[in-house]
Amino acid sequence: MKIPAFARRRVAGIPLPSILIAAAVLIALRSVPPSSKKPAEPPTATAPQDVSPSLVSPAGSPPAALPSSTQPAPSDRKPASSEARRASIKAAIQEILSTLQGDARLESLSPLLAEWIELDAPAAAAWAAALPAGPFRSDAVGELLLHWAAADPEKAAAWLPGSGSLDPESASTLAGKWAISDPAKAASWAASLSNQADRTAARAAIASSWAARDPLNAAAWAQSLDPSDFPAAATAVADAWSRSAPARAAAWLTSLSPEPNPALEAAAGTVVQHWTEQNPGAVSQWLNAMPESPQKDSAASLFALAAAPVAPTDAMLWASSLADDTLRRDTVAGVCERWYDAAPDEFKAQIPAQLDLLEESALRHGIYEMLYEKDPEFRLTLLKIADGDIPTPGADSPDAQ
Amino acid sequence: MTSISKLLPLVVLAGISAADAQTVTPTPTPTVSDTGPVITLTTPASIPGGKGVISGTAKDAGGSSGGTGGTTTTAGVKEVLYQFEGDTKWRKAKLALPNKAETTFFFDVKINGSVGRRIYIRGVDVQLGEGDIVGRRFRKGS
Repeated sequence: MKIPAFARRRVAGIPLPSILIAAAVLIALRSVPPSSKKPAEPPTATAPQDVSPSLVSPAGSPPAALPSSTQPAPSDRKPASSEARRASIKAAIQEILSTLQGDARLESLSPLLAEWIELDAPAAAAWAAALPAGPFRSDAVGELLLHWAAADPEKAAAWLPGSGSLDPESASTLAGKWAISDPAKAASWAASLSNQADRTAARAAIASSWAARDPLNAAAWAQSLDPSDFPAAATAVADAWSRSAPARAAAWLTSLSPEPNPALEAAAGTVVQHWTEQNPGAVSQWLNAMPESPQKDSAASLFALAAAPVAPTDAMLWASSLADDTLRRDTVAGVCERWYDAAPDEFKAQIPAQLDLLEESALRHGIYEMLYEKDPEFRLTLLKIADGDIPTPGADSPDAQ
Repeated sequence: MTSISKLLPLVVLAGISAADAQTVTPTPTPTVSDTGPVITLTTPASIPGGKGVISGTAKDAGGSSGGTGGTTTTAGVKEVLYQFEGDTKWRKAKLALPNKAETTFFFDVKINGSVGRRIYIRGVDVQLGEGDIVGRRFRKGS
């Protein structure tokens, strides 16, 4: 017997209410394949009265008519069992809503929604859409769409626009999932969306799912989109493509826009990020081969930030060599923050020597500002080192390199 | 100008009613009429492997300030900030074109957990006007 995840877990040390456990066990029992169950007793005309119609029909639809015979045909047995399962799911959901919060609540709901979708997708969808507007409804609709789009994307797509739950988040969730199995149909659905933000989000999600499997066709499709949707779709393609072939993604991106294109800055950022994780040396070579330009400055800034956790001193060199004053200051501070986050002890040991290399006071100020929140005690130490009040660590040591 | 309640998404998220929310003394309202930048997220809700870059656009229509010399309008996105649900710190996203009326922004994230994480994003313009907070749940995709 498989007990649902929410019943196996104790969230934040809170014991699960006994009714929740009971509901979980009930669901688990109902989930046992028929072959492993004892033969079910034939339902009688009075049996369904154990289940509240309001629980069976959360969308307000009338409960199924009771069978007229006390010995219903075998085909009637499955609906009776399904109704009981639906009722137990609904009860478990109500219990979760009243006892759990945040991600724990959503984690517990997810398997129940998956089962409800399998049993009665329209009712599950109606329940989610009827939740009060807000982040939780978005979360619930998102979970629901993930399951529904995997099972029957066209019905999910037909439901969403008229549900009152269509927004960029839900459009993205549905379209992205659908595009895994059928990008052309997902693209056709996205094109039918009248709201610009919904359409852009859906198209970006399709580009992402498509490019993960077929980057060339996804890239061609993204280039065919209108200018309002192209940057988001191109960024999604670049992101997905650069996870497997960053050099090709970078070449494609460069072919789109030889000159710096602010609309594609995020696309460049994601390519440099993934490429740096895979092969920082190749990125460094690529940057060195670029002519001096704002585009190179921007890419070098992204590279420095991406390289900071793994090669911080190299990243500091790239950051401090940027031509644009503001970009240089922000990048140096950003590199230091990432360095500190990744290896605080190493940062503290090595940053005094790095400070000596920073001739501009603005760059040092950026580091002090970063430390103001992260480590005010070390900030004071660093200020004293910079002022010469205390020596640089290791400077007087005979072992200093 | 955004209301201060927009800076408290965790309170809203936790399902606490308005009566439960802490009372905040309003800060003096600047004389500038400004709606703040409008944030549009372009990153899909599913992030392959849970690790990636979240990006979007921030557009600022500018604000007008009255004075003896007439009104002036200044548009520009000063910064875009993001916060993970459950955190208290707002972090700065990287801007492609700081202080311009329209810019892309991006930041890298790592998403764990079966249901991902909800992230809130807001923009601040050069007149310190704050736009609406945009929230989206990002899930780890395959």
